[in-house]
Amino acid sequence: MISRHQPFRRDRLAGLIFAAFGISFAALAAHYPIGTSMRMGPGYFPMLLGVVLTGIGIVIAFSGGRYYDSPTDASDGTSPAPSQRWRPALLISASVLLFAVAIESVGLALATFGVVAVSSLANREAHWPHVLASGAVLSVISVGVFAYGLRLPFRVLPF
Amino acid sequence: MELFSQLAQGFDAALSLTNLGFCLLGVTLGTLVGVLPGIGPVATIAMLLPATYGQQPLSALIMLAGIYYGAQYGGSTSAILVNLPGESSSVVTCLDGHAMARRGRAGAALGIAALGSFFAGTVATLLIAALAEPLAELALQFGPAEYFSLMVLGLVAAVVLANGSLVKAIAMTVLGLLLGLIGTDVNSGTERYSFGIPELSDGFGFVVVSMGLFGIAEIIHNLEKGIQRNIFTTSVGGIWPTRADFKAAWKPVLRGTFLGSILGVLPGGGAILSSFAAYTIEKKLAKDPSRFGQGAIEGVAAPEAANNAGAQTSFIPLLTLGIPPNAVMALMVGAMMIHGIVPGPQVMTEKPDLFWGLIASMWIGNLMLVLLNLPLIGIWIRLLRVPYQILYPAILVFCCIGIYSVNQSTTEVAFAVGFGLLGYIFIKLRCEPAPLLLGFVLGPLMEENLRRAMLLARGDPTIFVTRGLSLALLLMALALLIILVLPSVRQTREIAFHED
Repeated sequence: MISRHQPFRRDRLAGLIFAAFGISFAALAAHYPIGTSMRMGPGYFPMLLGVVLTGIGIVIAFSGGRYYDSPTDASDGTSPAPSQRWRPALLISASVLLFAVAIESVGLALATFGVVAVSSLANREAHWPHVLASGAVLSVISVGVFAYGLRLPFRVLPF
Repeated sequence: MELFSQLAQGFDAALSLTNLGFCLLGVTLGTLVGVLPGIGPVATIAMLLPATYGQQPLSALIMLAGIYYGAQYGGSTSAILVNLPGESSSVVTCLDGHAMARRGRAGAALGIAALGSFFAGTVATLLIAALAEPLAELALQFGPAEYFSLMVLGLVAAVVLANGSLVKAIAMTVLGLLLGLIGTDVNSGTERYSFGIPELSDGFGFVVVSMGLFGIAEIIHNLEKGIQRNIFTTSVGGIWPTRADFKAAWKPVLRGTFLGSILGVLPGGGAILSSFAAYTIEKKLAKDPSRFGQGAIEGVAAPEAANNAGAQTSFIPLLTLGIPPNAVMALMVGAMMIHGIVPGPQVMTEKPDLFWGLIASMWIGNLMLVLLNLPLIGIWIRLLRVPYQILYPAILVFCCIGIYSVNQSTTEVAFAVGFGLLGYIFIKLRCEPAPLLLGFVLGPLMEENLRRAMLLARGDPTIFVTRGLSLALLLMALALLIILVLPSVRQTREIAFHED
């Protein structure tokens, strides 16, 4: 359920994230030569932007939700339990990382199949025979199109 | 007439069998991703960018351009039939287009959208041909101060277009600029924010950032929302609009074309801004504004004409000034660079075949799109029934391959996951990623020109307002901000984004 304070909290979090980015960029920029406004060093522009971003972040975080957008939002209406909410984010990330690991060790065909299988775990209504079939079909397509059709220098098979 | 001989030269180049093939491939792919919600032209072009290495430069650009304007046609199909904007520029088309579909007039809405788009595309192509030369000459007078102000204008436009809060959009833009600065500073050779990671010495790749923010993040968000089934039972009806429809629609199409052509030229403009502005104006001019939202054909005709005109004329700043006005054009810069072409006013004189060939291909592509969209509408409708659970693993696979194929780097694939998660968090916090991407592209260019301008002015920042052209650009940025906070425009913006 949406709490009435959610847009407000959302803005506070967004503002704090922006401010954190701004502070980090500005702090690191201080390690680079700043220069003068006539001869700017590598630190000048990032320092300027970092300070500006920090300022905007603080405005967003502490403007009391004045800038929040549409209060009614269908997409948040039926949010699942917290443990389920991170499921897609985790599994989709995992499937892409799996691809990164697999492409050079076992090749494109299995990497493709792995992405389809792991990312389908994110869909709770997945019908497994379909998933396996579409994984196989996509493996064939991606090998055919990218490795043979476009001749990208990919490893195709583990052996 | 020189213009016509140049256009003829362009048609000569574009009408070769290979180029026609790539044009058809581009517009078909464009329609496809336009129809499918959840994947847009940015991700598609990013995916196909590496695949264009081996092609002729002209063929590659023709195909990529086709994807962009093809997506404008495809986007209207899903907007009208299932009330889902396949493309962000079709958001306003949902309002009246889907209302027409609910009344059983989907066919007429699709027909008028396609014909209006074709007309607008034709006019815009001619406009690019006519304007390119004078603008390229103007571009030669641009100094660093003007380039800087032009980019400010572009970023302001991107902010104004963003969904939701303006302040958050500004923050996203600034963050994008900062992310764009990562990597080796060209002036001093200092590596900034690279933490000794070799993959970062050239900064994050554009494909990595755009695939993360638009590909991976969108998929996560869509899955979390839950997979919806878009079932529509309404019949499509006759495709050809009636005489009364034409009578009601021809003026809005003209106005939309005009508006879209102008707004498309603005940096940061392009298809989205054009369609919003066109809808607002039609509503203002209508005798009975209450019909809007209930299925007024003007509300379909004008924005569809405008978004197509805007999509085409947004090539003007790229081709004449070398400045990408939006994320898609930023990718086109990447495509040109791959083939060793530096975008800018010199392209027209040094590679006339390429320049005019691309322009001619746009008209050919538009013609193909009308043929693809009207008689073959049934195929696209069937495509809308492909369930998302089959679609998203495929999109994900193509994203992975696209990122990896740029540099054969697995580290970059991992970076993309990072941007995917960042993008997902931003979506949850109602911060739209598009301004970030534009900032990311313009960051290094902006710094470069700021430094040069300040060096020339001996550190005096008034240079940006004392040079006439620069001042004019900054005033345009200000005007844009003022127009967009006007109550009527704001309302459309709110209603349209509300549909989300």
